[in-house]
Amino acid sequence: MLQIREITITTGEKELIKDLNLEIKEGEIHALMGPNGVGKSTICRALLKDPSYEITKGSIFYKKQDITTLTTSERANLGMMMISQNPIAIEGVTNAEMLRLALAEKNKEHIDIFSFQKEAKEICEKLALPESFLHRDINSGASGGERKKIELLHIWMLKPSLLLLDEVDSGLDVDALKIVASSIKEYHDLTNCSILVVTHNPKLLAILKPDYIHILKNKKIIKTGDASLASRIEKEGFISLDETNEVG
Amino acid sequence: MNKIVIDREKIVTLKENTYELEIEAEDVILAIEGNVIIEEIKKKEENLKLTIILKENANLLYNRFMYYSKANTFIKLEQDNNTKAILNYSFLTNGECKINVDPLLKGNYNNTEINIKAVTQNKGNVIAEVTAEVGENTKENHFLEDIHILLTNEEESVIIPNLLVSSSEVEVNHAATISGINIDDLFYLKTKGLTEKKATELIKSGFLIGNLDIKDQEKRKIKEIIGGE
Repeated sequence: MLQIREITITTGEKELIKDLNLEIKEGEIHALMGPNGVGKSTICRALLKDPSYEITKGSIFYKKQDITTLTTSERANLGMMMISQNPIAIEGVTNAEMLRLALAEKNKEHIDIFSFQKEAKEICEKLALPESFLHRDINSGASGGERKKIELLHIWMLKPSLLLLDEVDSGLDVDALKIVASSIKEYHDLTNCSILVVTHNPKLLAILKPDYIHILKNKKIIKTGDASLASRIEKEGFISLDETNEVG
Repeated sequence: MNKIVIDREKIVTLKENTYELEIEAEDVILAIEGNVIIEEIKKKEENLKLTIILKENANLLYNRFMYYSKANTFIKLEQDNNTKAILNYSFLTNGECKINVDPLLKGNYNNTEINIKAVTQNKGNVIAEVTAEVGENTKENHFLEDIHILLTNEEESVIIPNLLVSSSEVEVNHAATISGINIDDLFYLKTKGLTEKKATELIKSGFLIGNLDIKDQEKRKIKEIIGGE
């Protein structure tokens, strides 16, 4: 599904990630952990070609296609989607308006308004999100929990095949975290999408049940393991780790 | 909603109603009595001198959207006593735009908000000058001017916010910004699959419409005007 081959990511003159390799197969869930400021979010954003970052070396393959030179929207229309830790608000642009345009772009066809509204309404009900949010400006005036639910609405409507979750648990209380994580897991189990999740939160990992845990340190992945690695990090921290793979 | 077309120079009194306004003349005086809402949505070249006089105890909400090819527009707002005026003025321009808004608070207990949002594109540029004047020996007046220009081209635009205050019993504020499209907003919409062109169009129309206190039907009308460029 996703192959990251020896990529180096920079911002300005600063090298953030060096010679990173990572492969995520269809349906797999990978968690990326590591000390603060090590570049975990950078990887998610660079995978979607955030203009703040540049991939100066290496290549990215998605669905067997080299996407290294593709634009952000081209990557999104291939099925990649990111939820950031603090989704931004956009004044004057409603969720419904953005979703209809995005669906038309993705499917290359006119979107039937009645089918769209029916599906959007059903998803709002499933997420316990008031239907009125569809016609509100994107994330405007919404709490942290509501913003994440709005992003879930985007996921269920746009149906991505790869989710990049950048500290999606940030700003969520225990109940909201459970709702958000369970919805993502349900979407995964239903669609067999792949997931790369950046988190330190054991509760989120307990619900998502990742197949692999990667530890990012010193600009690269220094260790890969199964879910037990997250428990070890929880007890011992990142300092104790040496640079060996335990799984895969 | 009453529709009024003003096609020659004259004084028009608007009372206690919501009006869809269309101004074709170049010199117009509007006298406002009671609670009045005005909505004006138009694509045009404009050369206008508009004077709005709020009589005692009058309240005015004026939502004005223009898509200009060129404009030389002067709006004078005169407030008597115990009035409230909100001017929400949004425009998109392809050409030169010189916009003057001059509120004059002559009496006491007035509230005024001037909210201007403009987007420049193609060869469009804006000189927006708002000069608020609070008269001598007046009291309890509140005034706010809030002017933002969003540049989507390389033309030069200018905001000149003037506050001429001759009274100590007053609260007067202004804010003014000129900026390009926020790259984070653009990136966010592109991550959902919108092309740069579509994302930019959405941000522009959202910026302008967000300034107006109007219903969905009017919003759709504006989007059609912007989309049909």
